Amino acid sequence: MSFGFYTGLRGMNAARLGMELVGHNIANLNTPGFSRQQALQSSAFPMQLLGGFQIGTGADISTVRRIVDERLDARIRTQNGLFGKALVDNRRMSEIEGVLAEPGDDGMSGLLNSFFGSIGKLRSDAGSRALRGAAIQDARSVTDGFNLLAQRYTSLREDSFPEVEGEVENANLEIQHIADLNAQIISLEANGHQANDLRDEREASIKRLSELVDVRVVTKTNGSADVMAAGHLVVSSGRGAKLVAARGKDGSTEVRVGDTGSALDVRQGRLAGLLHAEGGVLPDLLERLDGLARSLILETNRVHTTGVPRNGPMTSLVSDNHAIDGDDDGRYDDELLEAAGFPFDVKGGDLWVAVSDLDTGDVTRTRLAIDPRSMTLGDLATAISDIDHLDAHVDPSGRLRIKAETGWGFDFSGRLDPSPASKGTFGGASASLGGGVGGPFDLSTPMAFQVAVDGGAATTITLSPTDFRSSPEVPADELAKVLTGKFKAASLGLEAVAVGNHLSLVATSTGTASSLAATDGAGSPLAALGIPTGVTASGRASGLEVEVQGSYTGKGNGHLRFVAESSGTVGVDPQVLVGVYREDGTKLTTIDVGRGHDPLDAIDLGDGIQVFIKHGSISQADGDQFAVDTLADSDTSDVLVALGLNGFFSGSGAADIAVSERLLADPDALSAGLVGTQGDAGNLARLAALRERTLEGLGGHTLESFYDGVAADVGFETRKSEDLLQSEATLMGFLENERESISGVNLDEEMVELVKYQQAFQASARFISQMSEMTDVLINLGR
Amino acid sequence: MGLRITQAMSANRALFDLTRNALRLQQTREQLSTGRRINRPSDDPVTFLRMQPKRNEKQLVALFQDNAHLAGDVLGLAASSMEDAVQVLSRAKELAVQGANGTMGEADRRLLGKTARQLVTEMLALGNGKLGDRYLFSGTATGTMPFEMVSDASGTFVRYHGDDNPVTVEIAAGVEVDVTSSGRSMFLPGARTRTSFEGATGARPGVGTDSGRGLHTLSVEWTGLSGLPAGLSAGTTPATILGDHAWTITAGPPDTISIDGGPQAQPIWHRRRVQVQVGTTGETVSLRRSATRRRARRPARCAPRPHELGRKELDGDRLRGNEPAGRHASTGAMLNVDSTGILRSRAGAGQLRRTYDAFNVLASPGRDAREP
Repeated sequence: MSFGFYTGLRGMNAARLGMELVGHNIANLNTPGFSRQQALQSSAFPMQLLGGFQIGTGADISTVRRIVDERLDARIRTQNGLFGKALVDNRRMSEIEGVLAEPGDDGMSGLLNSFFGSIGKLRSDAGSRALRGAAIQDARSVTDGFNLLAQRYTSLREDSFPEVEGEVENANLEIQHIADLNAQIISLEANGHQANDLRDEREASIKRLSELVDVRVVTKTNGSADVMAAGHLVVSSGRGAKLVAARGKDGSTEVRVGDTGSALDVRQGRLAGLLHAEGGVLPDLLERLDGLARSLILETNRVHTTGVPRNGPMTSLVSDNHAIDGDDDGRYDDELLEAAGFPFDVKGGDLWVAVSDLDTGDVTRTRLAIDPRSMTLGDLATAISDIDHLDAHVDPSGRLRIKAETGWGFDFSGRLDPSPASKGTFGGASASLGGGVGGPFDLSTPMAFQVAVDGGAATTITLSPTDFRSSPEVPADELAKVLTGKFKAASLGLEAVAVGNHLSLVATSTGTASSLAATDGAGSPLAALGIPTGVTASGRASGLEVEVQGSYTGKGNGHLRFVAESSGTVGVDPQVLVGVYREDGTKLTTIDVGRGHDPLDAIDLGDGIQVFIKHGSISQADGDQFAVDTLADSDTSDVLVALGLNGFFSGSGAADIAVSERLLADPDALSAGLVGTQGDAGNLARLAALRERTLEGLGGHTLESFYDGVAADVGFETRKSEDLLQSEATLMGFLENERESISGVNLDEEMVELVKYQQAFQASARFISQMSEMTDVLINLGR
Repeated sequence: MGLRITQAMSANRALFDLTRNALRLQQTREQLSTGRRINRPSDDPVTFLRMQPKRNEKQLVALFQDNAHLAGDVLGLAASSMEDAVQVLSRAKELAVQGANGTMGEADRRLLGKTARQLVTEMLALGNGKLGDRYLFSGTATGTMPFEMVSDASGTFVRYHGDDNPVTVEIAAGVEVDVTSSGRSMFLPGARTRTSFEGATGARPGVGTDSGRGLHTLSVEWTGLSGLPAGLSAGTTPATILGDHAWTITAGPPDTISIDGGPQAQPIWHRRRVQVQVGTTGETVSLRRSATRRRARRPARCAPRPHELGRKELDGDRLRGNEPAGRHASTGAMLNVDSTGILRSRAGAGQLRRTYDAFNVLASPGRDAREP
């Protein structure tokens, strides 16, 4: 009967233990990561009685069980990694978006807007210093805006390294903690204990780690949980590895496993977010902003370099950009233009330099052929110095300096020459002979011809191939230069002039006494040039004037050559024909300036060109001709932009874009015009048109629409990261709930348990007292 | 959600929902306080992208508005200058009529000359009108004073220093309006084609030679049979001398002239022409300005300008009709002022079309009166 006491005791013990567990559960109601524990009760081993039957000996608490769902825990860990990454991504994107400061007046969109606005305003009064100052100030705001964006994005990018370091430190703490717990759990459970609360702690630690990096857990039978972080084993039983943040070969941040040194391919968690921000959106954004700044510099400067400042043509100019001494010989002038380290590429093309006589306003334009692969900076300086009244050299800092003689100015504008016949090649007061054959000319053999000026004796002029730099094909302007030199050497009052790609000879004497005749000699150079022979051209009492108005609106560069195709007096003789030819020799039209022609009537040639042919007479026999350069782009080589000669912006990208020092020092240097008068806004019109122009460098976008696209993309990304964070958080909440639903403590449940165990306890106690009474009965039986 | 509901679950849920609501509330508050629905691109990227061009456009429209205001100011000022110029011209006209009176004595003429000089100065001030620090009538050379009175050996005249390019402003996309025009086209429509005259005596009592050169068209009808001046052809069909033609007017006493060495004759003044009687048989040379063909859009550049015949300036143009002409009975000096061609242009800018060189018209009588 005595075992009955034990049965009761066991029942009481089991009930007490159960109640204590309920107490533990209730006490941990709010403990994060706590899993409720449950006592598993079973009946005790039965007793074998005589007669072959068994009798139970009460109840035992066999195990205290943690109620967990291992697979759910794994899912939570994964989700935690996704959530951590989304959190970092969102924080980073919000920061990036905040830096843009859109929409608002301080954002780049507002700044560009103001800049073009003040350009538009300046157009209405281009001479106003206040408006010029405002335009330059607004340009400065744009450049400051770019600099600030570049600087802040770069620092955002560099900031991630210390952040990664911090997170790696956190990860290491967790890894070590997990390893320590593993060791304890293994030793405890080897002794048959249930390390439930240590397991809870370990699970919480793994969960924290999973927020940093993607984690996989392998549970072993000995109770150890081995942890793989981003595919690398970082916790194995009681040993934990160390992670380190380091710079990779390309300068990017990496996370490595300390002992093996191999880089982790982190895909989830906050670390993944940080590493992704460094390699993902930011460089792309910086690149696009850089592209925008580059396009702004390139296109604005293309326009500005070919304009004319407020006070007319420039008298001296220094390039903003300098050459790099690539071959390290201490000289800057021997670098090829393509290898001189300029921020923008020099293309093969032409540069037209206009030299103006500041007194008369007469313009002489020279075409320089630019070939970046064979031309050095020094060659360019020489070519510019070769132009009359200009001097250029490369200074010790590698910059190109151009200076004009006193009384002369220069610019690179493609404006129409207002008086194209001022040299007197078309019905001028001086005798002239014009060539009917276009260049370039083949002058590869020695040649000679004779000229007689003003009725004087014929002088022989010889030409040898060594006279020319270009060989064998000599362009008209070079030939004219060489011939003029030879005429001067022979003391002849004669000048050679390039008319388009043709040649004309003009006597320096004027009036009816002026005369000119040419005779062909060896090699028949005159025939090759189309210069009329057997004709004595004579001067006139007064020369014919040609006036050109308007600005060329057509495409492409070239010239229009006007040739007398009959002789006579303008406006008087029945038919006086002038043929107009394009550069390629095709005929544009024929104009009749004979009877009925009013010298005050504009002859409209299309593309914005109006020509006035004034009074006078022209001669077909003398080859009267003149040419009007029609330039849509007076610098097709971009050499001005590359060198920063009369540029608006300097620099090459978002980080170093700035308004050119020249403009900051003197707002008058803003090349608003094409003609050179104070109120002339011809160039500003081109600049303003830039706003609406789609640019090749920006993938067919305008400056503003490109930037809007960038800002909207940042908006989309930020929005996406927000939405992602929301959905990850919701999912996380769902999983946490799920876990809570399984492992969480429910007070009602615990109350019920409490009552159950209380009643069991009371009943067992009652059972013992009953047994006790029964024992009393037995003891008192013998009395 | 599983079967079990725990206390923590309810608490978490409530917190989650409260947080979400607080977030929404914050967004709404932000919209309320900024007055904008989109405060950053991520608020609504699609609308942001659609909104940006509108923002740019709005700014552009503001610029166009500014420009239109500016154009209004400048053109208004130019128009009032033109109205004033019309006043000056009509006063000059009165003066001319007054001066064409043969009974006026020398002192009266001097006085008249002084008044005329005053008018020239006034006209000059109008031509040099400014808005702020920019000249209205100097084309794009807005910092250069457009008109200057110059005296040299050949006389006193007004010179133009501006250029012929207009300053334009954009008042709508692609719509450009000229705000300042070339002063030349406003005040000196004929200046580009000015005929130069040389000589010393004019058609005054006494003998001398004047010659004119430049752009002018004369139709000459010759009804006589002899005494044809050089350069003129006979017949009833008008011959044309266009420009660059020098001829000589010889004035003989009293009130006779001869052209290019032809016989001396007394000119007979008609409304539209001058007839010069040649010889005694009654043949006359008739000088008449022929209309030149011109194209649309261009203001008349060689519009008729009045000058006194035979003083220093002879111009076929002046022979055009309608202008009030005054001729001094004894000296033959002529004064002509025409104000019939003054128009207001459609754009609101006052423009003098088909009218005379406003300055040099006025300059002449003053000088004339000064020299007895």
